[in-house]
Amino acid sequence: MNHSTQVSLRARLQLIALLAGFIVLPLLLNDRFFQHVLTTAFIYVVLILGLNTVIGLTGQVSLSQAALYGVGAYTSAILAKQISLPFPLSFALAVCVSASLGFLLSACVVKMRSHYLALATIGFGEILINVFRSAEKLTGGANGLSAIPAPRLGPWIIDTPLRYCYLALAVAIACYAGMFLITHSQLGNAFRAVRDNEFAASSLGLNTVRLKVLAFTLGAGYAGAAGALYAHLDGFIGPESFSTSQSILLFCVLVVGGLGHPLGSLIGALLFVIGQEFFRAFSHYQLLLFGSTVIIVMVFAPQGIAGLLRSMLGQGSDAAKNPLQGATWNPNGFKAVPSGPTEILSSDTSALAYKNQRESPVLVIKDLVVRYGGLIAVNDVSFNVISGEILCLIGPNGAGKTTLLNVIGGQQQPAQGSVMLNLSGTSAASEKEFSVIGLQPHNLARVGLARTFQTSQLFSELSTVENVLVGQYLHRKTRTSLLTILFLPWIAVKKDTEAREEAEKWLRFTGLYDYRYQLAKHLPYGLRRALEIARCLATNPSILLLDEPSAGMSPSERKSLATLLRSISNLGTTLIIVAHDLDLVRSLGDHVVVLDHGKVIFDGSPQDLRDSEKVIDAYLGKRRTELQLAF
Amino acid sequence: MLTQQMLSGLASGFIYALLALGFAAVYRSMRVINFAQGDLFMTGAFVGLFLAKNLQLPFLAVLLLTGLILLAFGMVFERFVLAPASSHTPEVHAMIRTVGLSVVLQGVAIITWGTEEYRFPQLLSSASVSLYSISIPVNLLFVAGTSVILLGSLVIFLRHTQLGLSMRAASQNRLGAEVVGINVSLARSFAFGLSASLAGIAGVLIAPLWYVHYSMGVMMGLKGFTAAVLGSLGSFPGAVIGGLTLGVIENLTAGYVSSVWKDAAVFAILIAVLTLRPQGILGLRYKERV
Repeated sequence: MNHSTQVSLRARLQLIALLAGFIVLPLLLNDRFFQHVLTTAFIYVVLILGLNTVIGLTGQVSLSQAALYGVGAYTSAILAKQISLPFPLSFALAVCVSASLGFLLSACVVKMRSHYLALATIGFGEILINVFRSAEKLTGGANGLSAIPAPRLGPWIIDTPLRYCYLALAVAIACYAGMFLITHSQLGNAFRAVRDNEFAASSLGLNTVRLKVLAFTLGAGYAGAAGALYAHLDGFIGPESFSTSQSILLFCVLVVGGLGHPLGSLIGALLFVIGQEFFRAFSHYQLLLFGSTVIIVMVFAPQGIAGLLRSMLGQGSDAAKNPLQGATWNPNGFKAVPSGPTEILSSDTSALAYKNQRESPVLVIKDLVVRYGGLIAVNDVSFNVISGEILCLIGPNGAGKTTLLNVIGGQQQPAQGSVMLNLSGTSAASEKEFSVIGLQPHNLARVGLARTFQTSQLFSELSTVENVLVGQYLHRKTRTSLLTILFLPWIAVKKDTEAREEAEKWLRFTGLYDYRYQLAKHLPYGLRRALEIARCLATNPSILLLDEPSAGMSPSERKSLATLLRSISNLGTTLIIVAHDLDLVRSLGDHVVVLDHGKVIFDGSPQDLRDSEKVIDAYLGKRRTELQLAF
Repeated sequence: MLTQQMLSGLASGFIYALLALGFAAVYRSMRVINFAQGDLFMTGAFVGLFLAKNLQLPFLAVLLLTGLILLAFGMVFERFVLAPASSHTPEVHAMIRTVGLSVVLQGVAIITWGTEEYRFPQLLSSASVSLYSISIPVNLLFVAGTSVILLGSLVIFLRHTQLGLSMRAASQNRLGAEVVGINVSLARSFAFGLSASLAGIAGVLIAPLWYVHYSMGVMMGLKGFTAAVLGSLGSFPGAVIGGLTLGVIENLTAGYVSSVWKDAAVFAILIAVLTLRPQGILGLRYKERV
């Protein structure tokens, strides 16, 4: 899947052809039965598009879509029957009620993962179905509601199958267009980032809770719209259409059609409804046929029918055309940046700078203690990080370096001590000094703290440029809201283009521009690490934390890395690097802190490091003479 | 009254526990929620019906044969449908295949037996044992007894046999298990077969108390899954405790709150538990590697 922010001409043409086809089709099928089938199919398109937002885009397995569909149907039916509300109003209210229930549901379940989430949504659906069955005064109980009036839109009464078909088509087109815009927007990109790696998404400043709630609410709103359309179609609704089995079937239809892209929802819904009608004559074999189709598609085309079509049409297969085998990271993009490798070894000046800036710390770590059960991983650590310096954090294995980085990065809470951020010198902060501890990762990213991880945490199904776009999402300047995307799409597209250009700038800076359309999962190791850095830079951090950035890199890549890190430092970013690579430390570090057994055993310039006995002891063991003296 | 309610709760609890164990076994070995569990339960009931009615076999033989047939079926399904591509596609796809299986099983049941309800021959006495003032139906005792024996043998199997050990190893670290020469694919097939077999046996156990019907497994599947998650998914003791808790809660709500709102009450409790204690009631956490 290669979702590009800019919609290509080809995609537009395909869309227009599709649209024209659907507009003409009900007229061509001059038959009430076929028009009815088509209407049902359009309703399912809306329903499954909604489910796709939750499952396909955001990766949250929700199994209450049929129940929310029922909420929409009952709401519109009850309003139309009991207080004869006109259709546009009952439709709008059905959408609102379903969306609010979706909001409520997601507020309860947003912290849950995979199977817990699936189960909680099943439970929620079962509760709703129980209400449909048992609140007899309102819903008619097991008998359902009948004689639901046909919708009236101003002067027109929608009472023939042809008219209803066009009503459903209009709603389906609106819903499809909305989902298409969302999918191709930065918001869609952020949804996919949450799906691929929630942990990394929040470390880049995405409020994953808000995004998930938004996706659920949106999906439920779509279900409500579909439900309202369904209620007035036959004038009858009963509780069995909204059961959990139906939700599970919808999930199947979505996956068989193809997760993630609205086209998949369209294909899945059409095939499902039309197939169901076609095989109605063989009613006994219907379930068997449906089940076997699901299994066969899943075995032979796990990407769904849409995925199969896309790969057959040659879309989204840039990676196959452009094999990355053996590609190494060899950036030449940042040659334009003033600092060349020659400056790297001018340690005298940096040592001087180190002494001069001693007074303006950007990060103050004081008396920090972290315990794992009985083990003290970080023991009473205090040091300052000066604005704009490159701090190298070194120490033998198990010295507590990553733990310390996790505390600064907000992934771990210390037992005691403080980490104060002082961004008075930079523009990003509104407050002058505040504590990092207790801030959620996404808020940390927003105050200007970004980090990479020891094992790379990329969004594997997103392309390189999309990965960087996720990093950029926290900037309000280029971000677009849902309302802008849906109602002022041209503004959203313009902003998305700007954001993409900005992201490409970071890709040039890190030497990844040539790989901008590759999926992250296809990148070789060195490029992945570079992409993680590029993604962090896009958040425009004041402080960048890097956990062993050079691990596993080839010697030439290490050189590139050193150059890149120096360029980043020249941008004014403070770097805190956990390193094993002493060459890197010597060539790059302005300031070195050495940890051993959770304690700081050295805090000073790299020049003094060489002479520190404690450090030599920690790395090489105690000197022989001392050992002999000890005996 | 209370004791009576609790007792019948425990009986359905044991059935839930058997289904929950199946969910746990599959989840442990392949990180997949087996949506076909309820319909394997239904299949077990129908296979049992066939063996008991058409072949006139005694109850224990029915139980044993059904277990074996479903074991074989589960292993074949895993080998030929779940296993291909399992290593390079997300778990969601395997999950959907189990949904497909669930629909297929219902479809086959409709084709073979239609949509009528069948009465299972009463192979055991329908008498009750009286203990103090509580009457316990023999059927119920049998369900509980069989479940306990099954659970016991499962524990012994996993702890003390070569295959059981290799299944545990394979579920904890696939690569590591392969390196030391464990046939991981066999272990996975067996796990799925085992779960199908447990569901089938549960189906036969419950069949004399219920009617046998093609859609009898739908709700049972949900309940079994609920039980497995309540006791933290992936844990065997958790599955048993989750199943019993669910059975008791359900019967108490039906007895004291309202039988109409029984399901809603159960699921409301479930959501509350999941919200407050996302690790399940027991708080056992089955470790997942990120």
